[in-house]
Amino acid sequence: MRKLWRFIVAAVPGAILSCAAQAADAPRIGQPAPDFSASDSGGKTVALADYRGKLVVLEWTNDGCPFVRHYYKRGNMQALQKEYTGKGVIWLSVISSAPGAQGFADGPRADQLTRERQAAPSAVLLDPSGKLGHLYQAITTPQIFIIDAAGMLIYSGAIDSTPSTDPDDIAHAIPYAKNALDQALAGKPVTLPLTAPYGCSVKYQ
Amino acid sequence: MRLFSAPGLLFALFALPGHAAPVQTPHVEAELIAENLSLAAGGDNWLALRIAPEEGWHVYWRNPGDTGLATTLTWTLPAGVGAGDIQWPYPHRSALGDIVNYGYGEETLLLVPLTVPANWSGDATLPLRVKAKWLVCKDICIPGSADLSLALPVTAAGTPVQADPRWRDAFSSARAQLPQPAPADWKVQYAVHGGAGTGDWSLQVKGAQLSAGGAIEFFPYASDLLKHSAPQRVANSTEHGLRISQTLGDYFVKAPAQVDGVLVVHDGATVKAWEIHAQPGAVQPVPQGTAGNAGEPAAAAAVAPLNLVLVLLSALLGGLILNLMPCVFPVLSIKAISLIEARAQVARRQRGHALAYTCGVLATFGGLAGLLLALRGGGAAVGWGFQLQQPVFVAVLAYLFFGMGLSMSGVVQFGTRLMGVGQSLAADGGYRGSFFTGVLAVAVASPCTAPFMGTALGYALGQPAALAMLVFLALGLGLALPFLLIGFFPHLGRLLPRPGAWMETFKQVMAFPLYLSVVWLLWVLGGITDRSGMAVALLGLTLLAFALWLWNRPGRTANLLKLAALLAALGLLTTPQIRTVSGGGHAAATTAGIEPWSEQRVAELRAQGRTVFVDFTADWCITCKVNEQVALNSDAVHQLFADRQVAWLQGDWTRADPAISQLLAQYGRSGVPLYLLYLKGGEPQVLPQLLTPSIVAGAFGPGSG
Repeated sequence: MRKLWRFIVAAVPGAILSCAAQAADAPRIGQPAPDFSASDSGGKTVALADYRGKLVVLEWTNDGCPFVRHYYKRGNMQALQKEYTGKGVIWLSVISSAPGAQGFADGPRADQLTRERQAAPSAVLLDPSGKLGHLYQAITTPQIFIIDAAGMLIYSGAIDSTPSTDPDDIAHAIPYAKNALDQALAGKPVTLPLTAPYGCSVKYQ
Repeated sequence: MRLFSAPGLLFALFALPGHAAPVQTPHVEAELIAENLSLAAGGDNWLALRIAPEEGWHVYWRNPGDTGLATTLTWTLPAGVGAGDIQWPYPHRSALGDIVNYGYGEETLLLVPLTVPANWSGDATLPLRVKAKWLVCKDICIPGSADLSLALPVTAAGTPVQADPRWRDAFSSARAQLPQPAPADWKVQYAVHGGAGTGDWSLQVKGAQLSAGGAIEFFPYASDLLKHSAPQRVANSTEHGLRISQTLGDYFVKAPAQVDGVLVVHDGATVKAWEIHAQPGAVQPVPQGTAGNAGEPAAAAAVAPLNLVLVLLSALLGGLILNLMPCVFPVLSIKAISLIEARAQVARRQRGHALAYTCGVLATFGGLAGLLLALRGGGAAVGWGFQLQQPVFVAVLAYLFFGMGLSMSGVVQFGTRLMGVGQSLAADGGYRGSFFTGVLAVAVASPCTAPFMGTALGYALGQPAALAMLVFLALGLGLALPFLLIGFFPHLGRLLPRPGAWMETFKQVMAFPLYLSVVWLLWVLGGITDRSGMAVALLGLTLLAFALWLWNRPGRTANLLKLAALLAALGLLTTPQIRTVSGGGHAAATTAGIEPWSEQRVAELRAQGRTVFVDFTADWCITCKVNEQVALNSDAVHQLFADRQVAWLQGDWTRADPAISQLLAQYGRSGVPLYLLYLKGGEPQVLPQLLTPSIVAGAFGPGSG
């Protein structure tokens, strides 16, 4: 009988807590960003928790995707990476393409891409299983998430306002992600924290 | 035409109508065409981009959906000549995994109106140039563009123009695909319930007598309004007109001043499309689980008829196991106390209590089964657990648990009859207490469809009413059996601890599981209604606490006050906040990687050869929650699902949902949980109702653990 009572006391709050935990799963603006750890292109394990106290950018990428290419073609993405890593921001490019799918990269390939494109992310995270992508529910490349020093998600969405594969359009677009970073660095709230991402689908398994 | 003018020569080459050849680009053929052989000055002229993707590839509509990019046209035209916007034919929905797009997979004309001033005095032949840009996708995407041109002679105003016979059919079929302006007498409204990613956007069209012969779809112009991959729930009735609900997009921010889009109505072979402009208004969402197209009829032969004795035995066993289900525990605890106390009583009284308890259980089971059978007889698709889809029932249970909890905490003494606690040997009312404990046990047990019980109930509901009733009573007997046995074989009771002073403490401690149950019930209530419903119930609980606090206080004022508070608490149950079942998009999976279930989605995924795990659950089903906690949300299962690329669909039966009830019936079940696994898109296997990570792994075959 005693065992039963113990079970009651354990089961009921357990059930309630599990429900509450589930509701918190989807990444939401103003809520703690889902914690993760993943391997970078050098085989080092990178965890979000390592960067508490810094602004963190997650950039989903796929070098074969035309929407990504147009941002790398004339150095726009690289410039963003250089500018903000220079200001102490941690910029993590994430590759969630499955093996065999467009954009898949192993460590050496990812490093080669970084060299060839003269990209300047803090690290490139390899996510061939799509675990990190699904955790953040990333659906497009490019797609940007920004996490503040306290680990809260402060931006989720598009790199800019103009869905396009033409580099000429970048200059005319509202740079959503850049604006969000500038505001966050200035200690201001992000005025447009949630935008619809555009681009290619993430090539999950 | 002077022979030696170079531009003139160039124009001469292009001046012959139709000399613009189609341009071949990777996976797309593009061409600029005109409806007529010449342009009418001052008249309507129509040009079109003829865009033909290769088989299996597609280009995009103005709202491309989750990914993709709309085709664009940039014109270079002689001064004074103007091109209008693209007139988009209604799009087609295509799904690839979780990504849903709107576009065209076949040759399509994107029509553009062109105006030439009536008093045109420029060149006799107009060079028309356009840069077309598109994105063509299959599993990967390739941006494409083409510089297209066409030169057409201008016909003076008033002179008839001649149609180009090559394109006559193409233009007329393209026109048939253009959305028409919605008739002025349609009343088109929309409403938003809830927030991004989980809430609902609902559209209502009144005054349109739309045929219900085929699918009805809505395509919004804005890409961030809806969750494209969520199914559209369509309800079409003469009373409410047409209603469509869909989950709000994950990137939805706020309700727009007006929602524009295209309504496409399929009726047999004919398809009609209307452009609609919805204004904010009051629109009731279409309940979750309502499919756009009627689901498959239930496969009646899916379950082989079971031997009646076997069924009755499994019902008995199921009832017995029900005693161990977490939802029955709070009530069991009360009964256990009364058993311990009853040990001091003479055997005759113990038997009496056991019988009274059993009668309570059986009467309630009989009553519920009768109601269930009557409802089903009336054609309602309900199943076991349907009581908890009724907000008032949930609120009453919350009151009851709270009242019992307060009593056990010592706030009030009820003369102990209801609780069966501390009763004297002489109190005949004690039997009544035992009876009601039985009633309570059934009421709270209903959300737990124990193993075996699912099969038995499914079988029962397919049988003649008398037989069905027998099964339910066998189940009740199973539930009552442990106490019945202890009543008749008192030496079994010696296995229980000795009564003593510890019992008062124990009773007070047991109040807390009851309070937790109240929390759970309120959470369920909030899920069925909304936070207003929950707030009203909390108000009721406060009134109840007030009344109970006054209970043992004498005096006219106290009596009046407690009566008033009780009546007010009961009165609150009749308020619309509690009575209204909200259609809020609760079923939308709240856990990453879980999609809402629909027959259609399962069929799509199976067609792709994916392994699909379907999980039918409900907020009020504690068995389901325990399974989720113990097995489904364990790291081992998450890893297994990731490794096997399992698509995880969830059907939420928290609210009544005919589509899910129907599916449960197909598997001989009448309640949740139900777990189905389609390995590599194959035939489904049914997993047990109590899961562990190793059971889940075992279902994938040897070597998966």
